[in-house]
Amino acid sequence: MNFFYTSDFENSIRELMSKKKLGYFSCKEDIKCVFNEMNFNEIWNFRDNLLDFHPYRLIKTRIPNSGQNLSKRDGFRLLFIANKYKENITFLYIFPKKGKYEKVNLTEKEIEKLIQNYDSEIKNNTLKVLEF
Amino acid sequence: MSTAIEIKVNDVTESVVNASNKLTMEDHINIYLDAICNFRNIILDCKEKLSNLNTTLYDELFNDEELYLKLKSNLKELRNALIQLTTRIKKNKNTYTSVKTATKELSNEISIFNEIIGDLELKNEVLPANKNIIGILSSIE
Repeated sequence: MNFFYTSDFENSIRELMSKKKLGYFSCKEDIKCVFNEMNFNEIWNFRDNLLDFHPYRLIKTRIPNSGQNLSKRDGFRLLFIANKYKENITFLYIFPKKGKYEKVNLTEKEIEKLIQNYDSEIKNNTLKVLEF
Repeated sequence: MSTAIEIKVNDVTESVVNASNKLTMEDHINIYLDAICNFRNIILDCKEKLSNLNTTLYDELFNDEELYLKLKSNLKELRNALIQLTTRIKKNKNTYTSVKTATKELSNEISIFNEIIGDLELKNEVLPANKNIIGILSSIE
């Protein structure tokens, strides 16, 4: 299984990690802890999938924020696409539920834009590989 | 002599009246504090019940479209009622000061509730009907 990420994900995580005092600095490690030991089928079967369009699944999952000692419920939200044929995962965006950059949710338009960018980065071959 | 005694009697009488009034006022304050304490407990009870509902919704409603469609209007009515409640509490400055922490805890739970309703709506209604997204996913090789 391969992990990729889009420039939107890169920008969102860079913003979260830009200032340590915001309490988001642990997000990379927290993502790693969730995905590191999982196989593709376990990720594919995450219950919180928002769209099932074979072979793709759009999933928004909960990630704890160890930096602020927050549980999954109050930590980060990570949006990603799983491709069943290729058995790969592409991270699209991450946002926190608490603190300065907290968001209640992503809108339909925001999700549409993230998927458009995912598509164009596949076509331009600019998706980046994520190594855990 | 009698005037001096009268003054003292009046003085004591005045003190007794003051003390009685003070007691009455303290009774009122106690009643008010009890009411605030009771209200805070009601808010916290509401928050606990909502937290429990959030866990159930996340665990059980995410992959049950039929049940979601059945419950959706109830969930939205509840969300509106919760938002109205916190808005009313915040508008009442005196009460809000006394129940601020409990109200914030309830607001956090409402935020989670709102997110779950939003996700259920995206999953069951909005995203499957979004032709742009479906078109993009269909065209990816």
